[in-house]
Amino acid sequence: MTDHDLFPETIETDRLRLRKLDRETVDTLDLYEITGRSETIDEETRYLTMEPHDTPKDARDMIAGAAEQWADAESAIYAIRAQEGEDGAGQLAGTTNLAILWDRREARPGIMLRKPFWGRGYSGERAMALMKLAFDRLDLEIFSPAHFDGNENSRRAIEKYVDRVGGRYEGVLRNWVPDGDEVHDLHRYSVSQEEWQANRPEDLAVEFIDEGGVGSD
Amino acid sequence: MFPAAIETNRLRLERFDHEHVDPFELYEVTTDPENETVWRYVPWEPYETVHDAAEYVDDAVERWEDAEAAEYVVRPRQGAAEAGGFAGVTLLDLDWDRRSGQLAIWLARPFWGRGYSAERATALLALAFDRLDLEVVEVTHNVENDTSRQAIEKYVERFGGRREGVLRNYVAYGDTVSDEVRYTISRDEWRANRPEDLGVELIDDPADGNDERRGGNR
Repeated sequence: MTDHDLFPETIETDRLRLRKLDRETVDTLDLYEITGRSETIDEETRYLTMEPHDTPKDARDMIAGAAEQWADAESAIYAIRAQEGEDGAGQLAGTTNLAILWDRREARPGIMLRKPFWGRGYSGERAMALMKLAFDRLDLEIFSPAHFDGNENSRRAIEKYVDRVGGRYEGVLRNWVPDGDEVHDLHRYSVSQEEWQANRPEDLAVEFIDEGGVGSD
Repeated sequence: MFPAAIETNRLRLERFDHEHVDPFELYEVTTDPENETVWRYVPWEPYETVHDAAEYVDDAVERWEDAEAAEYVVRPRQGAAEAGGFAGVTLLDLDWDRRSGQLAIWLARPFWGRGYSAERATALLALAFDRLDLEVVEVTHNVENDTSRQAIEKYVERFGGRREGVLRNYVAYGDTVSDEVRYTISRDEWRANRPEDLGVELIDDPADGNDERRGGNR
């Protein structure tokens, strides 16, 4: 068994498979299909800091950047695919990441989900997996999801899973996210390690699979 | 870009550099046992050596020159008790991408309870909004820091700002991570609530080549 990376290469939940975003697992042009050429990308990124990709080069740079952040343990970035039996199984359904602020013992999740996969509870399912990663494996203290003003879909998804594990809404942070000529306000939530341990679902089906197929738990 | 000095009714804020701050004095004030409780909730701590204090001044000069932070030593003006004494350190930390500035202060123990924190906050708000055209000024305090809470609540309310909430694990310093209450005042709120006569004078150093401007009285 080789040394564990801090982040597992693969995470499996009931319905999802998250796989480290890199050149081996995601074809640049496939990524560009969803991040650039897709007709729904403007809607999908409307409330995100992520900009639609203008060229395949942007998709390539995203993958290169992800590898660097992974190697530096700054952010774990995954491609999301639905498992067998789900509508659209195996297709690239989106990307998700967990950014780590080590000095604050904090993990910040992010997600971009393609529209055909909305409304299935995938965001919440993936959030549970990332909380398990943040708390059980990385021993962080705080998991802090957030959304822009007006992003009702994310608000509903976040409220639901934050509430389920006993976390809380913290407030709206004014002038928090610089975006071109604007600076957006951000609604922030947090779940603590203690809240997670007290409220985590007992039947949580999350499996971390490290390179070489060695399960970590 | 930053005024070399700012005057209020009772205070004079002077640029935190080697001309205005003696590292020995800085070291002495911060290591004075009387000030032990000053460090409890703030991301500062007493300097280990006078060399550390001198280096802190170097760092402040660099942040000033890079327009990253406007840092001042706080002294009571002539006529006030302990006039000219070293009352503390305050700064406006700039986050240009966010069009935002963050206020911070520590005051030596003998200067607590006089409303100095609010008075210098007004001075730095004038700098932030009237001169630097920021959109938002932020201030936070540790959730258990009641002294700062009382001072902050008062001036945030005065200028129409708001309490945003408790941000868990918001500030990391040393080995600790602090839960902080965050407040903001926006430019619009400032303009709506700022009195005509603010009693704040921004004073430029003629050597900087700027015309003297009175930021508080336009």
